[in-house]
Amino acid sequence: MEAPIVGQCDSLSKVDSCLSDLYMRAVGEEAAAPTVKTVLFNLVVFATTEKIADRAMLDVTDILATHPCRAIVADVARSGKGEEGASVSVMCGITERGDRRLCGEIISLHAHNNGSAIVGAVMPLLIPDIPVFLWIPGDVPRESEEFNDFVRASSHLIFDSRAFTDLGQGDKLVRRLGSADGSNRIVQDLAWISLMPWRELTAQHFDAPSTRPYLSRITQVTVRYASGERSDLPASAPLLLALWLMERTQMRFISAFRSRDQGFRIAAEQGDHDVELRFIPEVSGFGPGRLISVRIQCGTEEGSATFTTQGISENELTLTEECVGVCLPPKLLELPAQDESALAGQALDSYRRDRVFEQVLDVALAVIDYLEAADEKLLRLRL
Amino acid sequence: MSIQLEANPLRQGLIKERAIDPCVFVIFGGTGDLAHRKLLPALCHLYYADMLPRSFAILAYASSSLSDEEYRESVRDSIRKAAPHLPSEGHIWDDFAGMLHYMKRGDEITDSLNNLKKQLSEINSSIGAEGNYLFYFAIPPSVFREYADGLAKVGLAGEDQGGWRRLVIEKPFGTDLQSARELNAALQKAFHESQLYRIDHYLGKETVQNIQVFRFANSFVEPLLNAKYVDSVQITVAESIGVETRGAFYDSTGALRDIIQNHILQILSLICMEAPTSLEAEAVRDEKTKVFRSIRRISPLDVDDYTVRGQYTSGTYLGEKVPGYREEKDVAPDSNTETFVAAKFYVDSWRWAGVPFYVRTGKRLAKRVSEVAIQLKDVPRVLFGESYRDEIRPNVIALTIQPDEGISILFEAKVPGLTYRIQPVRMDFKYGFAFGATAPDAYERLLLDAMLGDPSLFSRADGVEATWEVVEPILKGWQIRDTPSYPYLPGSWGPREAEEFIERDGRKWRRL
Repeated sequence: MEAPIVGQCDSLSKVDSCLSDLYMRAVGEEAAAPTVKTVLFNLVVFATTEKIADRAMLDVTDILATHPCRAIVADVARSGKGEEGASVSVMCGITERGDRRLCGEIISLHAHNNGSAIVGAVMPLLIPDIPVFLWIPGDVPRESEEFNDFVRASSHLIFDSRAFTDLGQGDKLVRRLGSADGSNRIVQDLAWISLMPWRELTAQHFDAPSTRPYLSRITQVTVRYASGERSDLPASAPLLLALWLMERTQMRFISAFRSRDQGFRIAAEQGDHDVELRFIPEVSGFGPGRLISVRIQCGTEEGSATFTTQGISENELTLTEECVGVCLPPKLLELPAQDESALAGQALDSYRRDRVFEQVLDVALAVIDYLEAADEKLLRLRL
Repeated sequence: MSIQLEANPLRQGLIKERAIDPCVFVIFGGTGDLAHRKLLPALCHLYYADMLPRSFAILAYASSSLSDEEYRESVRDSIRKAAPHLPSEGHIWDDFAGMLHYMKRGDEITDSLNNLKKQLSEINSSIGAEGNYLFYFAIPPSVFREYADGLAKVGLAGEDQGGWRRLVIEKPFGTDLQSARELNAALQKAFHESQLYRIDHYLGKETVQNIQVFRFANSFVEPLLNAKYVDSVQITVAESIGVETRGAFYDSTGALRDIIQNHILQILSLICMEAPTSLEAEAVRDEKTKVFRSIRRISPLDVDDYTVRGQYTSGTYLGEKVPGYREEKDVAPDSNTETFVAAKFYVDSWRWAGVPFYVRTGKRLAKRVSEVAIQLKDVPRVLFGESYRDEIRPNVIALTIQPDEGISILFEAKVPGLTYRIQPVRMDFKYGFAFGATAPDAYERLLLDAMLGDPSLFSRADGVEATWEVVEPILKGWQIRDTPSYPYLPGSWGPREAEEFIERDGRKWRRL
C-alpha cells in the first residue's frame, strides 16, 4: 500500500469534492499501473472513545490495502469546539496481479460530542446500493438514538465480544440488533472469526471416517485459556469454542456451575451419556482470554481416545491424538494474522449469514439465561 | 440418539466445508510433463493451503529408475520452475516431500500393477489411507485401455474392499465418435462410470464456473437468454502462441478436435443449458448433454457453408519472427491440418431456435483471449431519427474467460449536450477489481473435486460421445470435400475467408 494522499475538508458538504480532488492527484501520480477508483462497500466505524477512533484509523488504513471501499470513521466522542469537519484520504495500492492500481477512501468525521450531528454527517455520505458494514470496536452502546440510526442503515454488523465489559449483556444486545426493525442483518463477531483456525484444526481430528464415530461419544471437553480479569463467565473465545463443539455434536445443555475451586463448568448430555465441559483459566504468556488448548476425550466400545488442539506459540497451533489404530503424525498449523484489522478484513469478505455462529450464540444466550436465573434464585433465597 | 456421521459436522461453516478422505494419489506418468508442470505444483499448492488430508501420499509410477529421494528432488526442481512462488525449502516443503513416493514401472503390465498393488498396500497401512486410491492417467491415451484393464485385473479398480477407487483421465477422449465409444466401453468395463473423471481443464476455470452463477443467480439475465432477444452468440478461444513442442500431436489432431470438440462445446453448453434441478453433478451433466444433443448436425456436404479452416504462415508477431505451421518441428511440410477454425452452430431447442452460435479458435492469433459474447437484437424501432439507424448498436453481454476475467455490458447512452447524440458505452465488472484474491489454478480445483468425489466439472461418457457426434460430420465433410486450410498471418484474427464467412450473414467478428 502506498502512502495515503490526505486532505482536510473544512465543510462536510464538500467531502465528495475534496475526495475528487484527491483522486485527481492520485491519477496524476506516476504509477506502475492504471489507477482505478474502487468502492466495494461502505464501512462505518462507530468509535465511542477517542482512543478507539485513533486505533480505528490505523486498522482501516490496513483494511484498505486489501478491501477498497469507502471507510467512514465516525468519532462520536472527540471533544473540541467549532463545526463538524472531516479529514479525507485516498489510499491506493497495486493489485496482486500488478495490472491495476486500486484506490479506496477514508473519511474521518468528528462530532465534537454532538452525537446527533454525526448521523446527519455520515448518512448522506453512504454510497447507495452497496453493503454498509457497521463496525463497533468496543462495547455496544445500549441507549443511543444515534447508534440505532446507524444500525438501521447497516446491512452487516461487526463487533468484538472480547472487548465487551459484560459478555452476557453484550451478546444479548447483539442478538437483538441483528434482527432489529425486522431486518435480517448479518452479524459477525471478531472473537468468533479468530476461532476459525481452531475450529479448522479441531475439525481435522474427525475428517477421517475412522475417527468420526468418536464425535458421538464425547465424555469431556477441557478448554484452557489465558486468565485475565476475574469474571463469572469464561472469556468470550473459549466459551464460543466449547459451545460450538456442543452445538455441532448435538449436546444438550443441562446446567452450568461456577465454583472457586473448579472454575466454570457446563453439564450436557449427548445421546444417552453425560458430557462435562470444563473451562480452566491459566497464567500464561498469552494475552488475557486467549485460547491455550482444547482437549476432547471420547470413549467408544473400541476404546477411549483423546484429541487435542493446542496453541504452542502466538502464531502456531498443533494437533495431536492419543493414538487409536493408525497414528497420525502431529500437525502444525501457522495461525494467520489475528490483529483487529486482519479479523475485520475476514468479516468484510463474508456476505453470507453465518448460521453456525447464530446457533452458537443462541446456545450462549441459553447458558447466560440459566446463570442469571440461578443468580436470581440465590438472591431470593438470601433475602 | 446418534448424530449423523456421514459428513464431519464440525466442518459446517468452515472455509473447507468438505474434507478429502484419507487417500493415495497415484500418478501414472509421474515423471512426465503434465505431472511436473501441472499436477505436482497443483498438489503442492493444495498442501500449502491445508486442503489435503493428514493421511495422504502421492505415488508416482513411471519408467525411469529413480529412488524416492531422487524423485523428490526432481519434483522440487519442477516446483521451482512451474510455481516459483511456492516454497521449496523448509519444514513445510519437507513435510510435502515426505508424502512423495516413486515406483518404477515394469515391462509386463499385470506383474507391474501387482507390484503397484503391494506398494499401495504398504503405504495404505503406514499412513491410514483407508484403502482410498485415486489413479491419474498422465500417460498417452493409446495406453489408457491397457492400464485401466490392468488395474481391474489386479483388483485395484473395484470398491468392494471398502475404500473408494477413482480414475482421472485427460483428453483427448478418442479421436472420433467410434474411438470415443470404444474408449468409454473399455474404461467402463474396468471401472463404473461413477468412478471415472474425464478432465477438461477449461471447466476448472473460475470464470467458466461463473457462467452458471451469472445466469442462475441474477434474475435480469435469464429472461434475455433466448431466441426472442438474442441475435447471435460468439465464442472465441484464441491463442497467440504456435504449436510449440506439440507438433506431432497437433498435426494429427487439429484445432477442431483440440479445442472445439471439448472446450468450446462445453462453454456453449453452459450458455445454452436449461436450469438444472439442482447443482448435483448428474443434474448439471444431464442438462449439458441435452444441449450437445440439440446442436444441429452439419451435413458433410454443407461443411463449407458452416466452417472455415485456416493455417498460420510464417511472419512476425510483436516484432519477432515466427515460423509457419508447416515449418514447426514434427509437422509435415505439406500438412493441411487446421490451426484455425471458424464455425457456425445452431442449437435446435425451443429456447435457442434460429440463433447462430459463431465459434472461432486458433493459434498464433492477435491475442490470447477467451470470450463469450451474447449479442442482443436491435431495438424494434429507432426513436431518435433515421440518422441514428446505423449508429445505434445492439447491446452485447460479454463474458471474458481469460485473461482479464470479467463481464462487460455494452449499451447506448446519450452524450451530454443540448442535442441527441448517442454513443455506446461499456459497463465493466472485472474479477481483479472486485475480489482481491487471485483465482485458483484450474487443476487445483479439478484435482480437489476428484479427491472429494464431486464429478460436476468432469465430462460424462454420454456427453463426450454427443460432442463427437457434433464434430464428426465436419471432419468427414472436410475429408470428402478436401477442404483447404486457408493461410493467415501470425498476429491476425485468422484467414480472410473467416471474415467473409460471418459477413455473409450480415454480421462481423468482434474485435477483441
